[in-house]
Amino acid sequence: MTTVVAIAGSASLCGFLSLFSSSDIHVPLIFVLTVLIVSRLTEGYFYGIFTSIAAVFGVNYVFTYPYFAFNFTISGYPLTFFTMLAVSIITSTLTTQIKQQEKLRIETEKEKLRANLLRAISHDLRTPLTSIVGSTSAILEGENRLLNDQKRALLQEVRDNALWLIRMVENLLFITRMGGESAIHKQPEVLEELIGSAVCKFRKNYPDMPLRVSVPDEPIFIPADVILIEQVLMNLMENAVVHGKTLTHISLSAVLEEKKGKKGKKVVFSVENDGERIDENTLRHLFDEHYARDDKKGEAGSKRNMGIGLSICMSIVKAHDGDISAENIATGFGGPGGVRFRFSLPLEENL
Amino acid sequence: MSLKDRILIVEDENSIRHFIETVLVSNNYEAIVARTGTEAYSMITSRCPDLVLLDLGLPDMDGLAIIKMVREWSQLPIVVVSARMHERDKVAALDMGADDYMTKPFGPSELLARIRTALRHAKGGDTRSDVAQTGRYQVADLVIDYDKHQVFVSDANVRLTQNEYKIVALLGRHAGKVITYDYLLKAIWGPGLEGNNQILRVNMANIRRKIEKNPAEPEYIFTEAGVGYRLREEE
Repeated sequence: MTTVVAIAGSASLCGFLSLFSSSDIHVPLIFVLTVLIVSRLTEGYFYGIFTSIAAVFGVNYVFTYPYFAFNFTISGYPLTFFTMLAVSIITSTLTTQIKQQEKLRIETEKEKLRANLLRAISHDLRTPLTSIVGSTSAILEGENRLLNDQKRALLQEVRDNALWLIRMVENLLFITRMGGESAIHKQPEVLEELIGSAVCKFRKNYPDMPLRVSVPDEPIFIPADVILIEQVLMNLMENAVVHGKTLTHISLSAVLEEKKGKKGKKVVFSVENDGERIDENTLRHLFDEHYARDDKKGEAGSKRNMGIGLSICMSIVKAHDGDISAENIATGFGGPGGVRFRFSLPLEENL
Repeated sequence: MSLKDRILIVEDENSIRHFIETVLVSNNYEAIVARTGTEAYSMITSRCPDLVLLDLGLPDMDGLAIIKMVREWSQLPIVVVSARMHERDKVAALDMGADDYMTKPFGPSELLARIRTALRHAKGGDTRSDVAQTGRYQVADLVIDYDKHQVFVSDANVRLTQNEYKIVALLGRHAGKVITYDYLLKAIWGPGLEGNNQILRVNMANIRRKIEKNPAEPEYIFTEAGVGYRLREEE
């Protein structure tokens, strides 16, 4: 199809140009360009070569003396048309080759990325698993020698590690889900329910963590995929607990923002904590798509989940046409402040 | 001495089955197990369990099919266990007649609470209150007075509208169990509104403003994301 359109197009262009000039030097050039375009737009070698041959015969038939008859024998013609054929074919094969190489390169790149991700994940899974195996073996083998308190502490560690593994795996599942078709199912949700269900889940996992929650007084409907937004809120709150070493409080709030001039309203969610701040350099690369990991620092296993969790948060918020950001805050909680994550979701467009 | 309740665990993963079995046996239940759907169905018919704990992801058949088959002839309580991110399965299971669901991972306390609730409702709780809607339901400071059609929080009448009262009353009769949006819509506004739960959400937002201190940190009515609502149960 592309081939036919391209040939017809260049033929009519040549016909149109011949109205203005008796010279026909432009004709072979235009057809070589056609061949280039065809090879760029089609798959494989066939169409390019086919166009080259068709162009040579077509040009000879239509645009050169004698018009509307084949004649390759006039002096100079054999060389001219042979050259045209050769140039066309070489152009087409080179273009196709470059295209195929490009495709191959992208595929190897993807493969490499996937391999890197897998390696990083396997490495990260091993740390908590080793700890689990170690702790449980210690309990099983040293049954009588361990004090009850020691056993309890080991089991606590096992549980924490297992919970971390579950969070990690859930985030990985979200990655595959975000990559798939029909990734999100937006439905009008009530803001307080969105927050409420995340808060309930969080309380279940961290019953002792003080958490302040505030929402607007008015019930607000917001188009969102409740499961995905819940995951964003959970990730942000759990990150705060796991990474904010000196943390004593978390606050989760949502406010309605109206921007004049800009279309529509949006809801801004913030998750604040009074924990340890994030250094500015890390802050800048916090949401980088790739799985961020710093081997030099040799941080504890729990640190590494942050990269994956936050990049999930970002893809979810982006899929809702929202924005996400992180900053260190100076005040709040009547103390030295800590870290604030914010993300916004637009309200329904027709409101 | 009362008979132990017999619970059928349908789960193909050995470690999870073992964990559930241990928890149940140590809490004075009789546990029987099935690894596949066919095995489960034949045990439901031959061993007459008091409750079925059903994993939806079975190797040989869809867990939903078992619910459907059992519901044709029995009201035997079924609690569904599913992995996360299968909200559609959960809702389908509940609409098909499952009594409740649990999301993996869960701990022993949640497991036991769900089982207790389902068994209690099965042993007459539901039917009795469905026939004669009398008496009161109390949890913490919340009282639903079925005789006066009124709801009190800390002894103060919260003055719900008629539909708001109906929602709370219905949740109260099934306290501890999750009630799907569609079920509530149908029960209160009649058929034809399925899938359009906005009206229910607005009513719920108003109820929350009347009975909860902070609507985003509910003490009484919890939202199960994408599924429905659950009223807190007596401890």
